[in-house]
Amino acid sequence: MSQGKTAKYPKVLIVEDDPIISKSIKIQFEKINYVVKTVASVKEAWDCLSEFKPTAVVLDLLLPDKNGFEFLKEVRESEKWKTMPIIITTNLDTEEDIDKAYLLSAAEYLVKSDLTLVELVNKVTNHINLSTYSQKTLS
Amino acid sequence: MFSWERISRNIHLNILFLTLVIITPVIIFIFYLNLTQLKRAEEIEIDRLSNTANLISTSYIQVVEGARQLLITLSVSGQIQEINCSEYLAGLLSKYQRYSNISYANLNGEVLCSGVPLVKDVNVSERLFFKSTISDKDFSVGEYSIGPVTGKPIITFGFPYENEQGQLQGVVYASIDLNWLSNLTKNFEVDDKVQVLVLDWKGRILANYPDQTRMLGQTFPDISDSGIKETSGVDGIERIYAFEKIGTLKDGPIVAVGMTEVEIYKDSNKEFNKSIIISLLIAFLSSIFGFWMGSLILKRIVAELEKIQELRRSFVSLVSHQLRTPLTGIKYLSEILISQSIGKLNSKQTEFTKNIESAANRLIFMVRTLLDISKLELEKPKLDLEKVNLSEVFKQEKDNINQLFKKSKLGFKFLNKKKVVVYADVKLMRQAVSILLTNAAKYSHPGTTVFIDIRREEKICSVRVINTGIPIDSNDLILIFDKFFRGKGAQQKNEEGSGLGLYLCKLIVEAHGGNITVSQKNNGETTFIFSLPMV
Repeated sequence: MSQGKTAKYPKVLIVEDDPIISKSIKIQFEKINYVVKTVASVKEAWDCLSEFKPTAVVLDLLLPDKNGFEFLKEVRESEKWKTMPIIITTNLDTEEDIDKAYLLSAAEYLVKSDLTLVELVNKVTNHINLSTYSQKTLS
Repeated sequence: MFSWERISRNIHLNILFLTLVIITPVIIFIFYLNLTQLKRAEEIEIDRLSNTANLISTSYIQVVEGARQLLITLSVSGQIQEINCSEYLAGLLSKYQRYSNISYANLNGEVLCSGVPLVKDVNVSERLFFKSTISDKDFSVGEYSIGPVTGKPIITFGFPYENEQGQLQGVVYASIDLNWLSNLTKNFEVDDKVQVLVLDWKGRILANYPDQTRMLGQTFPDISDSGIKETSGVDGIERIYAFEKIGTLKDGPIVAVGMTEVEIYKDSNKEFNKSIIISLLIAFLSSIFGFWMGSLILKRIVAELEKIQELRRSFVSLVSHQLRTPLTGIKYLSEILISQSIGKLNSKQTEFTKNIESAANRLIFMVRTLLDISKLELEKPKLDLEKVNLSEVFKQEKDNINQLFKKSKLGFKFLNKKKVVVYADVKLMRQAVSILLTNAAKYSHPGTTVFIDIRREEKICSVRVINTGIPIDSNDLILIFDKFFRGKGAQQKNEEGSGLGLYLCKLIVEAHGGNITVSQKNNGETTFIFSLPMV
């Protein structure tokens, strides 16, 4: 991947422990030329955050080392990443989880099985566009 | 969720009822024991009354015997034949103060000697003691009278006086001062609550305690020789009296010892009331303790049940997640394949991949439906109630499945244009409406119209979804809302159904306090009617 492409296109970090879903979402983002990195745990996500500098994070909730909510909370508490759009993608859909996600300032709560890949990627793209527009306006 | 408040209301009543069921026979038994004790106490009191009467009677016998001995001595001494007999009798009077007078009368009743000096001639021939002594030639007793010489209330004892040849010459007699007799009762140390009377054979009061002399000479209304009798005294107060005759004299005096019922039962009633209060207190405390213990045990059980429910809920949610994750994988991969972004597919491959995607979607839908069902089955769902315009819900849900309507060229019409607003969980209501409309669209004959009729009927809102399509077997109608049930017609027409939709629909309507039914006409017109409360 060239440095030019990395600078030009948004970067999405996918934190998802199911390899098939992770791979599928990656393919769909790459179709629209987004730069994608996939990790399968919270630890890996933190490890690559500073280096990869994602525009947005697609975050699953049930992860092998930590709960996705913990990652969300930690990110929101860090000065550097607190405004980054984080989109929860999960197959859990209890009212408690949805409320918790929005309380922790998740950009959106998406139930993977209810959406097509196109719909999922479109929703994430919207949030990235909105975030980019806001940053430009503010700067 | 198992709500303590929700079930405890009835459970608390149940515990209370159970405690009372256990306690009541105990109270009845204690009551019975106390009642027996009360009766026993009454018997003891009445026995005590009889014993007192007996005791007092015995004491009075000594008075009577004293009089007899005195008169016998007087009769045999010959002193009454002496000229100074009155002086002799006066000497005796000063010695025996109980007597108000001691006299001697001849056979005509003329008093010849008197301890109290005579101021005029006195004749006692009409007096009972005189007549009895003359006729029986034996020691006799008279009745209440006022002494003709002393003017004091008296009772007189007489004894025949015979000469040496045994011929009856007259009667020696001694009169006992009734005031002295009444004072004598003081010595018996009887309770103030007890009334002691000495009566003559006619029932006239010779002595009276504790009122002393107040009632002397008055007639006791209902006299008896012996035994127990409940009757009114001269003061009109009802008492239980124990009667006992003094000695064996004919027409001899009688002792009556009386006590009011209130006084007789006072102590035993006090004891009875005390034990009943203690028993009730114990019963009350036991009830409180039982209630408290029962509640504590129940709380523990409910907490356990809540824990189990929570585990089940988490389990269902987790199982649903675990099932949906691989299905999502299949769905996403199918989508990528169908989009041909990673390589071209021929038409057969495209068709089969679409089939895979469709199957994955059906399974995902079924898992979601099962999860919704389990939520509604497991607990009384927490409804997020808000004002819902039902026509709007129908319109929106119809738009969501417009493809199905278009496919069969179905019409969609409201029979009633009135706006009906109900309080409902909009998310669940949409789900129920979606199920009914999807079914109507799937099973209607092409070109027909699905009618919606929403009406407010007093306190309920009734909603009818009417379509004309493949008829439902009459045997299937009653089973159509059962879990996993699919009618024969439905199976032939559409193999994609899960048999869960109408069951979920029923659960949603019932969770709102309503009900759902289905009816069918011969022409295949099927009507699903559900009602919701307006409040």
